[in-house]
Amino acid sequence: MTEILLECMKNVTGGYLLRQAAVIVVLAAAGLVCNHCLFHRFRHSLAFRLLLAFPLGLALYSVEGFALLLLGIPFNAFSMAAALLLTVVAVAVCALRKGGRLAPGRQEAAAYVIFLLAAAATAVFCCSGLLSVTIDNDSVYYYSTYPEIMAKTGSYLKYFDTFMTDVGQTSAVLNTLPFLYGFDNTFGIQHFMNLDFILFFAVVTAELADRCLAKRAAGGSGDMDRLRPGALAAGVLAALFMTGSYPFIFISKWVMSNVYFMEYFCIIVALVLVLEAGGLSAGELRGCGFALFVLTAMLSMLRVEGVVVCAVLILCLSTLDIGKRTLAMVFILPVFILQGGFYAMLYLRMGVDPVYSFLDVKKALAITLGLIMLMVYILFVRDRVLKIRFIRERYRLLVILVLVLGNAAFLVVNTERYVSNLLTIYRNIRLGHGWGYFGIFMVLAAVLIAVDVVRGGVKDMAFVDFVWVCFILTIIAACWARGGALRMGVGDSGNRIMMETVPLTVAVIMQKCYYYIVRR
Amino acid sequence: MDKRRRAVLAGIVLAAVAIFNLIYSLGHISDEQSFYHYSSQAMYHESFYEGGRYPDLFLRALVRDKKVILPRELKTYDMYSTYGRDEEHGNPFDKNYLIENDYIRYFKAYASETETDTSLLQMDEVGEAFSDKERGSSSEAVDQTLQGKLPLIEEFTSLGIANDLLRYSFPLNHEEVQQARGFWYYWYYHHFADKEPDRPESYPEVFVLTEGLSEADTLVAVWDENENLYLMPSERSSSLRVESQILPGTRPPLIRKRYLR
Repeated sequence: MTEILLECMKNVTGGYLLRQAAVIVVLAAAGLVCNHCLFHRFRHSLAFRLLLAFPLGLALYSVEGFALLLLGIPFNAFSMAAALLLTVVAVAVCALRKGGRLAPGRQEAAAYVIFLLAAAATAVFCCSGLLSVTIDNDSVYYYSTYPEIMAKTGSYLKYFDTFMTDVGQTSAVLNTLPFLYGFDNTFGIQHFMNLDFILFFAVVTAELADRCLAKRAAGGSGDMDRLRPGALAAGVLAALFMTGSYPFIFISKWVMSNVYFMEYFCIIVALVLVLEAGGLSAGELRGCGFALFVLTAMLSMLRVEGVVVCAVLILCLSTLDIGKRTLAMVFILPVFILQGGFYAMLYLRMGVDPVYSFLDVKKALAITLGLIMLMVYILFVRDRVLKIRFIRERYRLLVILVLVLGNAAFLVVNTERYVSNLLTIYRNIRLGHGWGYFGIFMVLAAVLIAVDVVRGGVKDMAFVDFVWVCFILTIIAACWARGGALRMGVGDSGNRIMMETVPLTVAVIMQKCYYYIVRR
Repeated sequence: MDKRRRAVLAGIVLAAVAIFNLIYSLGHISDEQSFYHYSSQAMYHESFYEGGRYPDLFLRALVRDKKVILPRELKTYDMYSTYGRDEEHGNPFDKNYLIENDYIRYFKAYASETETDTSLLQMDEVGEAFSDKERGSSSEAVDQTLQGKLPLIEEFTSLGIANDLLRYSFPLNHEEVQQARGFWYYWYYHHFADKEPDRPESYPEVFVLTEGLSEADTLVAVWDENENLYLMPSERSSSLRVESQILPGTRPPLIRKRYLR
């Protein structure tokens, strides 16, 4: 009987592979055009233009789709294609008006053609079924059934009910791709995103390692064109380490929003790190502002806790030399617009009020208030407090202290739930539910960070270390805030969110190893 | 130790850790959760049949480009009486509101086209025709004792329970009623339904007649009062149709039905 059912499915889904592969290539092309038009030609920017093409294209689709739905504009295959095309054209026009040259150079053009051909071949491979996936109820109903219904209705309806309060909306829109463009799953899209992310992770690690080497060797800015062998090796090893990690494999193959959240979060952090390593001048993001705007918007709505994680990430970014206007316009504004618009639609226009939901009116108000306070802090307070030397030298530690105090407040409000959640997270990692033995590396990262902080005289800490600690504290707080207790098992929501820290954990360990190697 | 040696040693250690990581992960990950390699492009995997999982994934891929013929038109909430509602325990429905309409909404949403044919067996008739108290597990074909009553029945295969398919059809209901609140609906299928005295122990199942299913352009869907769904190519559905015969000289007309073979 299984053969008969398989034959039946093969008969009805002929042609789906090529359609999904074509969608992947189109999204990559859209992202590539935007990156080509906007990215400044900084060191090795070609690699970043190529590797950020698909993540940007996918984010553009998801964010624009969400915007169409929010605005009540009909959401269908045609309107989405038109929106994407208009965006790409608008970006090109903006670039032209800024005096940029649209036509790529010969080498650039060759690189783009090779990239798109490689993307097409890789897309076919990713859609072929050779790479496995795992799915569960959430995959089927939250991330497939709901998007299919959304694609059919072409608009938000209040009857979507808990689907709107419990599902990250850009995740849902992302998963409408099959139902708008004629296939049945997003496995190929997910695998392609995974492969792209692994390459991106390798390139970023290599780039940062190379800059580190260059600085220590020559005391200069490290402007050599080629990566040093040591840096290349660091990139390859980091990617191999991450890719082979048990929780990474788990999460990357699980058809859920966690994998996209993990990858988009790390892409934003990594891209900012790369820009910062090259020196951020007067807050300018070297033409990456548009990409970061869209990626942040995407991240904020990928999961229900996305907005909280974004807010903390923005707080982390405020410790870098990024101007307040850039922080506000590129990072806070997209989060504020999307969240505010969504809450207004949910509670003011539609009056959605599910019996049980992760998101309710009180949480929405608290989040909105938090975002306003964050905006006020960034625009009016941050620069002033950074003038105080004590704070400037310990700014990151103080941010961590604030997060710890926030967690302490939750502990006081509901001690039982907080402690129970913490113990459950710990036990899930220790017993290897989806973790294998990777928990050892989590402990190792924590120890290495602690040693670094103490050796540094309890002054400031490295940015990646700082983001890792903040991310974990935020996850624990978000698990408490969502209500209900966490449970033992690989499928527990808190457990899956904690698995999203794997790339950062690898980055922390690799960074420490690399500094150990290259120290004078 | 000089820098170069340190670098080489660290590189070797890291490479060893990374490779061990990979081997360990790939060797153990399937112990914890099932991972699927797909031979088709559907989200439905053939191994779901063994555990009766996600029949709706099969259905939605199947009916996407097909026409489905249904036995009745959609009825609205106000067409039902208040009998059977149990507001105290959170049930705002006459249960027939769900039983009679959910599959209609489902196919109207997921099939490329639907059509109504009231000559098809209605719910109680389907229940009589297909009932078998000794029906086996969801992964077996329906018992052969029904041969002679309805020749097609032995060819049906159960794909699994329809619980979640029906539970998550709440967004398809655009009436201003409680079904649009997902967790009321959850209550119906996981609590209220369980307590129904006449309900068989198992939840509703999805049965399909696989022969000619993927090649057919038109399918027929009928279901019984327990919401067991039967889906088949229209060419194979003639035995599910009834002829109505009006006896002369009677008011109101007496409808007598006979089953076609």
